[in-house]
Amino acid sequence: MKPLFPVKDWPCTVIFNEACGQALKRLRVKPRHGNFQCAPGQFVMLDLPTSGFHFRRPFSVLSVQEDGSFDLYYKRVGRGTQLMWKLGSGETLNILGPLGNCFETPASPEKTLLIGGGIGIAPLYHWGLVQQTLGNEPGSCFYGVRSASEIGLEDALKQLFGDQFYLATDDGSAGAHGNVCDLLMTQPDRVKHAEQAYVCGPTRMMEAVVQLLHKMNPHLQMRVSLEEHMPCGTGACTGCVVQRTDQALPSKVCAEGPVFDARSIRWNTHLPTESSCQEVPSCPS
Amino acid sequence: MPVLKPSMETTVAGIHFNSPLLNASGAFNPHLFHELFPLKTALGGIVTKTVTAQPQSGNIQPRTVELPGIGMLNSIGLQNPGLAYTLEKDLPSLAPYELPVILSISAHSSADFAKMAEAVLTHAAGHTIAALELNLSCPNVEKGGVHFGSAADSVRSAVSAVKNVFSKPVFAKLTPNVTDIVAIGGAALEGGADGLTAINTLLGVAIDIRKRKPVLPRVSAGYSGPGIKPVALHAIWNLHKHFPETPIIGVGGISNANDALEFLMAGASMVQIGTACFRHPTVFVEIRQQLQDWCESEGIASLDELRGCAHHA
Repeated sequence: MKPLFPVKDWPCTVIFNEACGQALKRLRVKPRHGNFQCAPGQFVMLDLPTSGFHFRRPFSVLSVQEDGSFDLYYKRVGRGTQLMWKLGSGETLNILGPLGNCFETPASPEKTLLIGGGIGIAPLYHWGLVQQTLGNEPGSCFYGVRSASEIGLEDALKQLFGDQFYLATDDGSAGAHGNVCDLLMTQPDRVKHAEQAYVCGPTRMMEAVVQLLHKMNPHLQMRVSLEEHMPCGTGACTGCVVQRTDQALPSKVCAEGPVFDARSIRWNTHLPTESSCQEVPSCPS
Repeated sequence: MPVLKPSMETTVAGIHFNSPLLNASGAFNPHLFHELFPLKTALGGIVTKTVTAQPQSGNIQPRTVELPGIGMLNSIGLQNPGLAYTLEKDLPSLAPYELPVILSISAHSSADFAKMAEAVLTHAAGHTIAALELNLSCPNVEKGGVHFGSAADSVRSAVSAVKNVFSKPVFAKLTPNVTDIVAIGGAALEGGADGLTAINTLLGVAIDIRKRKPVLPRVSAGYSGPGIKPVALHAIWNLHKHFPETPIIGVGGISNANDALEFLMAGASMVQIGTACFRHPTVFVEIRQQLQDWCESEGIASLDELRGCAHHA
């Protein structure tokens, strides 16, 4: 399949790497040459310097600025993101991309439910930004995080989605008390009148959301962006796959996805991702 | 006297390559990168992902483990769309690159290897390939499930079965997980192999100390990456020593020009790069340039001059 935009290994300079919540940062990088372009839902592979890693690390793109810089939104969870955490402005790193498919612009963008969990909000926010640029209403955003300290992009989300931004926290410290499924159940009319739902977050959250939405609106088109460890990110190694009901062979998440028809995913065989990197867990820093 | 423009071209088993660099099977997707760098000058040819007669779903996940600093384990299980699809779709898509294509095939019996080779040769797209590489990592059902590559008679019969029906060059990819790789390499040559690819992955295991169990569901996996380079060099050294006229494609842990030169000096005619292109998919461009610069500074007109030179030091 022909890439949506030319794939390059972009040498990038860090513009900023700022904390925006508990263990959360927004990283802005600018390619040293040329303007990075990508569609919402696409991802990039970060080559972390001095890591000893043999695999790059995949991240969804959060936003692309007019000056060709682009942002990633990440949570510090393993050795890779700990190294990212320390990146300072002016430092350089290579970023391969953009890779994978995207969340499309549908016929009625305003009838879109964007449902995010944790850092899975990144490609959905990007989709909303693109709709805004196109002059479209960016739909309704349902966002679930564990607690108020993990909302991260609250101001940006409120600004983009306005009164169509719905927030839930597991501990009730901000927004509605509960998970994103509870939140969706408070808006049955909105779900019923929606034409499509774009979902990104932890695997088990996506599975639960998809099941719920299917019950609430059986005609809803549902697309999910899957999270997977990716050795190559380029469709070569077949290391990141997902079983689907409409395909005889497992699909490569990096090359055939990461965005798939939610109803085609065999959720019972798709395991939540864990660290792919063998190491003694380090002390939290 | 510095040589003005050292030649990176080489002819191996009668096939002309513009560069001594190939990708290792299953490690590189040329389609994503055709706009990214000049494939035709960096890569000498393209090795396909291993294909089997029928589509194969591969192993359950997780399929890979990263081992920082030393490489990775993979337990993909040869997921592939099958030979018919590869002949109809994959091979024609490689034609625009105008590079020699080496089709990697695997089977569970010598008879099946032969059937696949025949199907390749009689298909319009299959006919365009430059060579076959036999991936001998599957169990041989004719020999009670012993892995093809670990028994000399299995290797000999698989290669011979293919050579009986396939007129183009055949490379046998050797596993290092044997007592004596020279004996296996010799058996491949007796079967009529035109060259040897060495080495396939080592066997490895990783344990998740938090869960106190193996990381990969099938426990054993293929170990590749920089950690296996000395093992690969040892294999190539001994194969070249015993079969100095045999073309050897060296593979195992190569990530820079220095590594590639070591393989050439140990006796390889060409090299394949696998694990390193996961992190650096453009690594071929850099290595080819570095090889050319090095040859120029050393006054070497052609890489062929280097082949096996360490044996005569």
